[in-house]
Order: sequence, then structure tokens, then C-alpha cells
Amino acid sequence: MTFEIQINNKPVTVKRGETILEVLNRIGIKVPTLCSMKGFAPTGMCRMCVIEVEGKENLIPACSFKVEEWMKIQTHSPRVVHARKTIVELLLANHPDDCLFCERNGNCELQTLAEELHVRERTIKGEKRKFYIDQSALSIVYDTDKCILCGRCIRVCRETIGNHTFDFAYRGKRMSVLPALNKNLNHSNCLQCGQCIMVCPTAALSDKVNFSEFKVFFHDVNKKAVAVYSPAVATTLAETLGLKSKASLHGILSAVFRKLGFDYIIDSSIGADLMLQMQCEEFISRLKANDKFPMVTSCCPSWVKYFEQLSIDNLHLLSSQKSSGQMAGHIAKRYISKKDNIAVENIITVSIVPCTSRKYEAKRPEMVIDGITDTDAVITTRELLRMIKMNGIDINNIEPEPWSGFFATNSSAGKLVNIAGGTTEAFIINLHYELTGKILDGLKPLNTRNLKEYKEFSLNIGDHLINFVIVNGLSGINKVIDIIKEGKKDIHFIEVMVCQGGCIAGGGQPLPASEESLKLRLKNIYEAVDSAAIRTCYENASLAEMLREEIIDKNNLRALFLKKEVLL
Amino acid sequence: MSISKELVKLILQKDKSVADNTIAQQIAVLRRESITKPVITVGSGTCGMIAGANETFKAIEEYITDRGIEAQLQKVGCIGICSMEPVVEIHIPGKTRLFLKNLTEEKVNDALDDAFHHIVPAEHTLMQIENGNLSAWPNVPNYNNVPFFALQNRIVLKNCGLINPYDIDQYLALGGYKAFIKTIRNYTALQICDLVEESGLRGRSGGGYTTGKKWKTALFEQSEQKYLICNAEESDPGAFMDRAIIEGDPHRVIEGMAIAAYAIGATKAFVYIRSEYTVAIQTLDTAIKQAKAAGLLGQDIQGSGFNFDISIRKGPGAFVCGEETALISSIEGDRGMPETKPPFPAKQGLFNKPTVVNNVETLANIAEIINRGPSWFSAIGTEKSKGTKIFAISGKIHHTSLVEVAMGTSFRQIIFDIAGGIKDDKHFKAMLLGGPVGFCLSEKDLDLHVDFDILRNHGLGVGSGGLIILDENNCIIDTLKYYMDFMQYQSCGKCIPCREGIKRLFEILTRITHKPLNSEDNSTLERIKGIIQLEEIAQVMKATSLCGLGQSVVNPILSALERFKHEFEEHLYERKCQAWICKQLRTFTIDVDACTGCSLCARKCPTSAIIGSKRMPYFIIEEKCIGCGYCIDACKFDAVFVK
Amino acid sequence: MSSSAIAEILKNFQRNRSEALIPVLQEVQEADGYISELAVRQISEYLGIPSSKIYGVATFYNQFRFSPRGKFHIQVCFGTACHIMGSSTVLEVIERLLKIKDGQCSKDGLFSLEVGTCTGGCGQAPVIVVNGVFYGKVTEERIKQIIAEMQDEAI
Ligand SMILES: Cc1cc2nc3c(=O)[nH]c(=O)nc-3n(C[C@H](O)[C@H](O)[C@H](O)COP(=O)(O)O)c2cc1C
Ligand code: SF4
Ligand code: SF4
Ligand code: SF4
Ligand code: SF4
Ligand code: SF4
Ligand code: SF4
Ligand code: SF4
Ligand code: SF4
Ligand code: FES
Ligand code: FES
Ligand code: FES
Repeated sequence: MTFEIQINNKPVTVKRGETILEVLNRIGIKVPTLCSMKGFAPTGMCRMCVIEVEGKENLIPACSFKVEEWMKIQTHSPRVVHARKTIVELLLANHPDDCLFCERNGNCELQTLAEELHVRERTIKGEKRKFYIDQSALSIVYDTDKCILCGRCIRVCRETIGNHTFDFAYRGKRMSVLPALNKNLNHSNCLQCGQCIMVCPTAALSDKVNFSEFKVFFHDVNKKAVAVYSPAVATTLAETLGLKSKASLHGILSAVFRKLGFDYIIDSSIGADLMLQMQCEEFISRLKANDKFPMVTSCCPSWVKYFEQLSIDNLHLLSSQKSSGQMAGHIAKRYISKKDNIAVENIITVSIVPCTSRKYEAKRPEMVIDGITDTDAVITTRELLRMIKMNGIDINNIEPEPWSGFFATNSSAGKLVNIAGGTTEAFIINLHYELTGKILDGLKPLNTRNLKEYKEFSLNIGDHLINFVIVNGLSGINKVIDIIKEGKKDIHFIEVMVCQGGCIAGGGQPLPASEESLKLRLKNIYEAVDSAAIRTCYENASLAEMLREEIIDKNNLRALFLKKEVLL
Repeated sequence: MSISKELVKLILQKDKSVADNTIAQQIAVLRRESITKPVITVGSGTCGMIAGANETFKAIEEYITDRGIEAQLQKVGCIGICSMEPVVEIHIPGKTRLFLKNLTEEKVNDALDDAFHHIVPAEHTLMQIENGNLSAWPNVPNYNNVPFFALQNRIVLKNCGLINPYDIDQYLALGGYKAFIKTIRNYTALQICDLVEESGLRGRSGGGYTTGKKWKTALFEQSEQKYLICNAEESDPGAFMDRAIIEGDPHRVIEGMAIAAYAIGATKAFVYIRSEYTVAIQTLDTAIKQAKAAGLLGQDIQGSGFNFDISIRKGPGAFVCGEETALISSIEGDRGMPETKPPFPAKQGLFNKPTVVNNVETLANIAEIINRGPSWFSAIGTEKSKGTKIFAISGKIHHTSLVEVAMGTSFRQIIFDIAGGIKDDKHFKAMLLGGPVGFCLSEKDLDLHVDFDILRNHGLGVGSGGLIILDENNCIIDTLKYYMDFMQYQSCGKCIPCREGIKRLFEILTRITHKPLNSEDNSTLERIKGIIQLEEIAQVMKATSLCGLGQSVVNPILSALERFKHEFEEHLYERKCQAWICKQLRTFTIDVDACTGCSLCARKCPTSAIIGSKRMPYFIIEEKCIGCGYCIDACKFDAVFVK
Repeated sequence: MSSSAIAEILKNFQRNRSEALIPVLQEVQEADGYISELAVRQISEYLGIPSSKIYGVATFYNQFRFSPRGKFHIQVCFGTACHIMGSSTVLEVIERLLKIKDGQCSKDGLFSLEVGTCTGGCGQAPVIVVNGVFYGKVTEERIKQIIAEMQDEAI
């Protein structure tokens, strides 16, 4: 049902049930918001979006009120603008004056508000909150002083991730956002997924910056630095930097990484192919033994951490390979060492991923074999972008450079594993090939490619009827936990990705996150997958060659899962 | 043995005569019409207890056991004159009920000796309740001759201090639960809502929303489950009406709740009561149990088909939980953070079900309205504010007390005629009405009347009922500063204007009560700017905060700015605090002639502001002095003085 | 407080019901004087509420503490009536005598001090509460006396 209301003295047709904010957005009137998030119920916390409604003594927040027939709204009257400005000034009065040295400088919602509302004087002064910076976690840094208590991180973690690491604690002047019992993040149940960073309007939450750690090696002639990058990073980079040419991304990336000081450039798809092959092998042996079902993917480190934190004794259900990224690092070191005759310890692998959690994963104990770490540093897409900026690289004008030559071929799996449902898709193609010798054509009817939070389906592969579950984000995780707890053996394969949408929506991607860019990434990746020449890891010549040469020991590619004691 | 079931039967019975003689006798005792052995009661409400009621009780117990006196000793709630606690009533067969004041334990023996010898313990006389049949005590004023009581109109407090709150029989014997039983037998829910609306009763928590209307909103909501909540959080520090009602006459509240629940179609109710109120919680708990045992709560009450049950929830302590949506979140097990309204609780409240939240005092009015009819009630009070309002008066007042007056009474009458005026013959300076979300009123306002609309037209409100009196020794700025200091921790923290604003208001007030330090921060210009900002920030907070707390926490400041401008200016320009409360503004000096150079003061000074050498006059460095006053206390020669 | 003692309290409440949280915390604190980490874990498991939320809820209210309190727990009312009647001096005196501040516990574990809100005894302001016992119209002398009595009792 529609009816008419007045906005800024003009009639506007609105639908019943719409919030005022939705209407304003629709008709091109911008009111500032801080606490509201698309797809979440409004909380009305920040009061930035206040507007004036005739007949109401007080201003009301546009995000939390629905339109009603009698409304005559002023969105930018002097009173309203003054109120918004005062609110920003009140926030700034309690905010560190740190913009010039801040992770979010130039990309901060608070900064933008101050700019837009023309705050030009420090009118309100007073005591500022002074707490601490929590550096304890391996992926996430929490600078409590910069928190403006908007609650967005709490809601994403609780409602999208389903983890509830943070909550508001205390009240009034003392209110803060804290993990359980005010223990540091490292002792909390935080999965390091970084989704809270993606919604934090300020630099209160950010990822741990690692790129300075390995820069020293660039100047050490004895060390060779290898960039192991995820295909998801490549598409994101192209999108974010507005790559105009359709020229080969590989060539441009080679040029970029060389300019940054890397000696070798490797696409982590090689790891994905190997991971899938081992996963298929393991699955088939479980099928034969009719044991250890369901097999649960272990390629998302945040999910693995979640599983390890649950106090249930079913860790053996996790598929036992390391993740593709870690495998890629492991392979790269051994392979380059052998081929170019460089001591393994002189090879530095830097993983470049859309994921913050990999920073944590890389430091897991099983990622060190004989004193050699699989991955020496992990940097996110955001960090890569920063390095590109710092080094003055203009990707629209650089000359593409030839590929490093190693692992030149890969299957589409390396791209698929970055999307929720993609690991299952790639797994099905490979398993089908392994069991029937044939390449499966088209998986669309299975709907692996929609982004539902929880889906179940069955498929005949060879002589087997196999039941799959795909979980996208942890909001559907309770069903999986029930399956596992009840020991349901008729579900065979469960894929879990913590970030909704998969790694293309990972916590290390550029800010701000938007639905449009997620759609664009999905489109680009699926296009590349569908036009890929090779679809199974068994057809990947580079992988086959490497395996033939027995440079690596598959036993070193097994993950080690251990129970974790944290405050849940 | 409780005879509650018999008493309930009696209500249900057409013919009100009591056949059974022993029951008739018991009723007479419960009503105190004719007693066979002495009855002694001790006012044991929280403040009575603080004043020593428990010790007095023990002393009396000892007294009667030692002497083998067969008397009934009971604890009762408070009668309302805190300054006269412990209050003890002695009721000797054949004589009227005699009330004694300030009867601390050591006074018990003499007073009881006197009373049992029919001598009035003059020192402790408070009043008596005359009754035609009984012989009166000589020279003891009757209840309605004591100004404190004479000028009140006690409807809600009718029984407080006069009946035993731990004994449902007494309440029943005095006509209790009649209204409830009448309700469930003779009226529809809508009729009750209509009746209450017609009476003109408005919410006693301060907002003044018409109670009947609120009930109707909930009644008309379709839902398989509805709730009633009795708001006994009483978050305003300095207010204690609700506590006293529950401690003194819990069944009145329970009966009101039962009628309200029936009227809105609720079967389950919660009393949300602050956990600090230990005595009230205990009283209420006992009362609920007794009501259940008497068949007045539970399933199919008295065969009416109406089910109703009450649970107590102890509020774990947060001012904001007095606000209804915050209170609901708290019962749901969450942080007590208010929610945007609409939806209003009456439509979508506790567990998302229609919920009526009513204040204790509001509910305590209900039974009497049903009993005596809406027109009786609406005859009391003013045109649009009906009935009475209870005030808890404390601070610099002669009788710190609890008074119930008809709407339309002036504050002057309340403070001077009823509560006896200002303590120690000081001057009235201000009254704080409704606590930190209320108003700061001056002498000019004394002739205002208690009336929702009149006060609203003056930009004020009735408030919850807390009334704190300040005299010339109190400082307005300091009081406001105290409020902001308190409230910066009481804001729930949810929204920015309230959370951040209160802090800044506190800081601005702090700045003007401090000495000029040499930092820019404290320059006069900064402080003047601060005052301008005070009002600006306050207005934005009022306009944009989510709940009533943020919107009203600025009321004391805004009302004081209007009324006590001179006091702000004095602090601001002259850096002076008339009342000497703002310590930092005091200037201490040593009288050169009186100082013997003993150095005592220098040793006591926490900031080493006093210098000198022994046996020579000492000297205070003004910049270093923080005005703590330790030196004055230290000096044995009265050499330190302050201006 | 032992795990079984906590379980004993939890037994009276329904599982996975978040509205039981505050009453549970109240009972645990009543029994133990504070909310221990063990209690948080157990309550979280039983009621199905994340620990971070339990912490968030508990810290919202005045009542709950996460560290043990002293043998004598002193609350100084900081309500308006008490402020007007001089509660800040009362607090100062106690802080000076016991050498602890608001929210702290003395080293010997004998006294803990907390600023509280109105007890409803405003008519007898200023009020302090020691282990649930109310004292009204307190003066410096009276405080000294009360503390001395407690110190004697402790010996
Ligand atoms: C900050 C704030 C504190 C409040 N505190 C109380 C309180 O302590 N007791 C109370 O009965 N109502 C309090 N209220 C009012 C309640 O929200 C609610 O309106 C009231 O309980 C309704 O009862 P009534 O209609 O019977 O007056 C408060 C409101 C606000 C905004
Ligand atoms: S978070 Fe934003 S406003 Fe705060 S210091 Fe950083 S850039 Fe500035
Ligand atoms: S914007 Fe202003 S503060 Fe920032 S660098 Fe430029 S001059 Fe300095
Ligand atoms: S990183 Fe993920 S799990 Fe950790 S707090 Fe942020 S959203 Fe929650
Ligand atoms: S950490 Fe960031 S997202 Fe979370 S409440 Fe603070 S400002 Fe908001
Ligand atoms: S879904 Fe991908 S980006 Fe997100 S935590 Fe898991 S591995 Fe990292
Ligand atoms: S106005 Fe204050 S108390 Fe009310 S919701 Fe906002 S922050 Fe909380
Ligand atoms: S008032 Fe206090 S600070 Fe000032 S001189 Fe005396 S003792 Fe020192
Ligand atoms: S205590 Fe008095 S007499 Fe002694 S030095 Fe100080 S001012 Fe002089
Ligand atoms: S965006 Fe509306 S209140 Fe925050
Ligand atoms: S005597 Fe109880 S209210 Fe004061
Ligand atoms: S203000 Fe202290 S008891 Fe009420």
C-alpha cells in the first residue's frame, strides 16, 4: 500500500512499512548514519540520522521510524544540521586526535562526517577515554580508544558470523565493547575472520599489519621472496584500482610484484589443486571404510578454530589436509629450492590473500616443518593495495611482465575455493572424475552457486549417492553441529566458510565492503571458472609434474587439529 | 492460624453477618475494634530499621517476656515520619491506640512502664487514634489534630504503619480484596478499564499518562499472552514512596495488580523491584505467598476462571531500568538499554507480548477506585489531575517524611505546613523535584500546585515524588554537578548525545567550581564559553536522545539556569561559592597575629601549600591550596580562616 | 565455589532460557560473593548464552562483581538525599581510615568498599550498609566506631 507524505516541503509517495531512511535513500536525500547497517534491524544508537517531523517536539532517527501518513519531514533544517554537528563534535571530544597516524586516515566514516558537517573548531573539550590497544591476537588489532560504540562489530559477529566475541560491557561513561571477562582477544573465541573490521566505521578494529616484517628481505641478496597470491586478490585488485585494459592479469601482477621486490610469483591455485586431490583421496578411502562421516572441510581457518573451540570430540571428521594457501607456500619453497638450487631457509614465502584469518593460520604449529615455516608472512588485499600506493605503482600504465614460469597451469579449482559453495563444486567435479573418469558437465541444477546460508542436496556420483551440506557464514552452523553431535553418517560432505559469500568477501578485502562489489567479484570469478581450460586437478600438468618429481612429502601436508580452551 | 479463607468467604457471602463467634472476635481484634490483650507494634520499614527499630523491637520483646506480659508484638511498615522513628504503637485493651516517637532501645523500659501504668510517656508522645468506644489518653493529640496528618489525604497510605504487612488477615478484615473479588465476579475487563479511565487516574511515575487508556491499548491487542509489570525500581535516589507502600501495605499493591491484570487480560505479572530494597522484597514475597494460600492468586481464582500469578524480579541496580523498555530488557535477561518507541510496550513489550507497565503508587490506587467508585476519586484533586500524590521529602527539612496530599496542594503547604519547614531554622533555597531527571525549583515556585498540566505549562513536571529540600548551606552548582556525576554512570550508554553529553556537562560544571589554574583550560573565557555550551549541549541532548533519561537529565540544569542565574554568575565571575560547598573556591589565609608557628597545619596540608619556619607565622600559597580545609581543623589557635 | 555447587543453583532454572540469567547471577553472587570465571563458563553452557554476553549483562548492573569482596563489605549510599547530607565526606573518611578506594578490597581481605545507590532510607541520610546492615545518620565518630567494632570482631 502506498501513500503520500511531505519531505522537505515536497510530496513523496511511500510504501507502508518502509523506514524514513529507506525512503530518503531512495529519493536521493543523504542523511548521515553511523550505527545502521543494511540488512540488520535498526538500533537507533547513534542518533546521526535524526530528522525533524512536524508536530514532534524532539527530533527522531530516520533509521528507526517507519513512515506514517501524517508526516511532514525536514531532513536538513538548521536545527537538524546543528544537532548532527553537535553529535559529531561530542564524539570527537572523546576521540584521539590521531587521524594523521591512523590506519583509516582517508577512509574513515567519522572523519568523513566531520568533514561533511564542516566541523572546523574543537568546540567541545574534555577528558578522553584512555584504555589500551589489544594487540594480542594474530590477525585483529583492537584500538579501544577509537571505538565509538556503534555496535556494528557486535552485530556482525553475532548475527552474521554467529560467534558473539564482543559485546557491550558496563554502561554510561564506562561503556565499552569488550570480549568475555575483558580478557584479551587472543583468549577470546574470536575466529580472526575480520568481518568486524569490514563494518567498523573507524580504526578501532583493523588487521594486524605484516607487510613491514618482510620488507627487509627484499634487500638481502641471499633471500629470495616469493609472492603466493590468491586469484581472489587478483580480481579484487583489478576492480579496486580500476584496471582498464583487459590485458592478462597475470602479466600485470607479475610486474606489480616484481616492482614490489618479489623474486618469484606463484598463483596459489597450485595449492588448491593439490588440496583437492588429497581431499578426494581421503574421501574415497573413508567411503571404502564407510567411516568418519561426514567429512568436514578444513580450508577455512576460522571455521577450524570454531570447531576446535567447541567442546565436542569430533575433530577427526575434519578433512585432514592443510589449506590450499599453506600448501602453496610449502610447495613453493621446496620446488623453487630444488629447481633454482637455493637453500630452503633462504626462500621467503609471502601469502597474499583476502583473508585476515590466514595470518593466524600461518602461525599454527603444524605449519612449521623441520624449522621451515610454510608461509613466512601473510598480507591482505588491503595491505597489498597500500604497498602498491607506497611504491607509486600505476597499474594502468605499467608494462605487463612475463610469468615466473613455475606452476604455469592450474585448474579452475583455485578460483572456486574462494567462493562459498565453490569448494564443494570443485570437489564434486574432481570426485566425479576420479570415480568415473569423466568430466562432469555443468553443476547449475545443484545450486552450489547460490548464496543461501544453509543448503543440503544429494548427488549420484559413480555408484554412490552422496549427500552434501554447504554452510555459508556461520548462521546456519547449529544444524551442522547437530549433524555432527548426533553422529549422522548419511551426510557425507560438509563445506563451511565463515565469511558470507566466501573469501571474496573476506575480512582482508578493501573497505568499505559493498554488495555491488561482492556481486562483481562473483561474476568475474565465475566467468573465469566457466572459461577455464582445465577443470580438474588431475588434468593439471604442473601438479602432475611436481608430484612425479617427489619433491614434497604428502605427510608434511597434513593438518593437526587440537581442542582449544577459550571462553565461549 | 490465618483465617484468611474465612474472611474471603465473608466477602463472597451476601449476608455479611458473622455466625461464628470466635471468628467475629478475631475480626474485631484484626480491626482493632476490641482487643483482649495489649498490641504493640514497631515501625520497621527500612528507615525505621535504620533508626534502630530492630533494637527497639528486641528491647520490647525482652520487656514483655521478662514481665510475663501477654501482648502481641508486631512489626509494621512506616507511618511516614522518618525523623520520629522508631515509632511504636501501644494499644492497651480499653484504651485508644497510642503512638510514641523516637523510642530507641534504651528508652523502651521507661516508656512501657509508663504506658502500662496508664501514664503518657510525655517525651515520646506522637498521637493517638481516638475511637468513641475507647478511653482516650489525656493530653495526647488526636491523629487528625497533628498538622502532619491533618493536612494529608491518605488513600494509598491509609494502612501504612497501622496494619501488619505480614498478616493478610488484617488487610482482609479492613475490607481488603473486596474490590478484586467484585471485579472478577461482576465486571468485564472493558468495564474496569472504563471505570479507571473515568476516575481520571494518571500514572504516578511522573509522566501522567491516563492509566485507563494505557490499559485499553493492551486490552484491545490480540495476543494469547499478555503481561503486567509493576514498576518498583524507584530509581530516583532520594525517593522512597514505592518502597514505603510495599513495606507498609503490600496487599494493596497486589490487589491493584490483580485488578489491572484482569482489566488487560494478563495472567502473569512481574514486580521489578530494586535489589537494595531488601525489606520490601521480603514483605512482598510473604504477601504474595499469603495471597496464594488464601486463594486470591493462582488458577481459577474464586471460581471466576481468572488465572493470575505474580513473580518478583530483583533489579540488579541501574537507574535507567526504571524506564519501561529498559526494565523489560532487564527482565528478559539483557542489558537494561531502552528501545525506541513505538512499538509501545502496551502493544509489544515483554517477550514481544502486550505489556502494561505501571508504577507501584498507580496500582495502589486501583482497589480504592473500584470500591468507592470513579466519581468519588475524581472529586479529589484538580480539574485534570485527580486523586492524591505521595512525596518523599528529605534533605534539609524538619520532618523528613512521606506525605500524601490531594492534587492541587501547593508546595508551600507540603514543605512548611506538613513537613514542618526547613531544618534548624535555616532558609529555604531550592527543592529538587523528581531527582536527576526532574527539576530544580526556587522559592518563587513554592506556590505552584501539584498538578500535571499546570507544572507542564511551566516547563516542569510532577516527577516521581522525590522532593529534596536545600537550604542556604547547599550549593546549586554543586548539586547539579553531583547529578551529572551520578548520571554519567547511569546513562545506559546506548546513544551518543546522552552518553557523551552528560560527561561534558559534568566537566563544564566542574570547571566553574574550580580555582583558576594557570592552564588555558580554566581561563574565565573558557568558563563563560562553557556556560553557553551547557545550554547548547543540553538542548541537543533533549532533542535527540533515545529515551526519557537523556531527554530529561538536562532538566535540572535548564531549570536551575533560569532560576539561579546569580549563583552561576557568582561562581563564574567572582569565583565564589556562598554556601562554601565548592571547596576549590575557598581561600584560606593565616592570621599573622594569631599564628604561633607551631607548623601543625603545614604537616597536615596534602599539597604542601603551607610554608614557614617554626615559631614564625606560617603562610599559605594560594595557587597550591586545594581548599580541603585540613589546616583549619589542625590549627589549635584559630589562626587559619577562610573567605 | 565448586562446580557442583553452581550446578545445584542452575538446577532450579530451565536450560537455555536467557531470561534466567539475572536471577542465576544473583543467586551465584549471593552464595559466592562474586561471579567467578568458572561460574561464567557453567552458566554460559547451561543457559546457552555466550560468555561475552554474560559479562556484558553483568557489568551493566551495579550489583555484580567479578572479584571477591572483603569479609566486611561497606556500601556508601551516594543517592541525592545522602549527598545533600554529606555522603562525600563519609566516603572520604572511610577511604582514609581503610586506605582503600571505591571498588577495592583491603589487602587483608577484611574490608571492601563500594559506592552504592539509594537504599530507600533517605530519611536517615547519610546511610551506609555493611554486610546488609544499615547505619543511618552516620558521622565520622560513628564510622570510626563501626570500623573498630568490625576489626575487633575479625580478631
Ligand atoms: C529514566 C527514567 C526512569 C524512570 N524511572 C521510573 C521509576 O523508577 N519508577 C517508575 O515507576 N517509573 C519510572 N519511569 C517511568 C516508566 O518508564 C513508566 O513510564 C512507568 O513505570 C509507567 O507507570 P505509570 O503509568 O503508572 O506512571 C522512568 C522513566 C524514565 C525515562
Ligand atoms: S579512526 Fe578516523 S577519526 Fe579516528 S583517528 Fe582514525 S581516521 Fe581519525
Ligand atoms: S588536513 Fe589539516 S590537519 Fe590534516 S594534514 Fe592537512 S592541515 Fe594538517
Ligand atoms: S574477527 Fe570475526 S570472530 Fe573475531 S570478533 Fe571479528 S567478526 Fe567476530
Ligand atoms: S569497534 Fe568499531 S564497529 Fe565495534 S563498536 Fe567500536 S567503532 Fe563500532
Ligand atoms: S571464509 Fe575465507 S576469508 Fe573468510 S575466514 Fe574463511 S578462509 Fe578466511
Ligand atoms: S538517552 Fe541515555 S539512557 Fe536513554 S538510551 Fe540513550 S544513552 Fe541510554
Ligand atoms: S586548605 Fe588544604 S590545601 Fe589549602 S592550605 Fe589548607 S591544608 Fe593545604
Ligand atoms: S597550625 Fe595554626 S598556629 Fe600552627 S602554624 Fe599553622 S596556622 Fe600557625
Ligand atoms: S543511523 Fe539512525 S540512529 Fe544511528
Ligand atoms: S519512616 Fe519510613 S518512610 Fe520514613
Ligand atoms: S539517597 Fe541515600 S538512602 Fe536514599
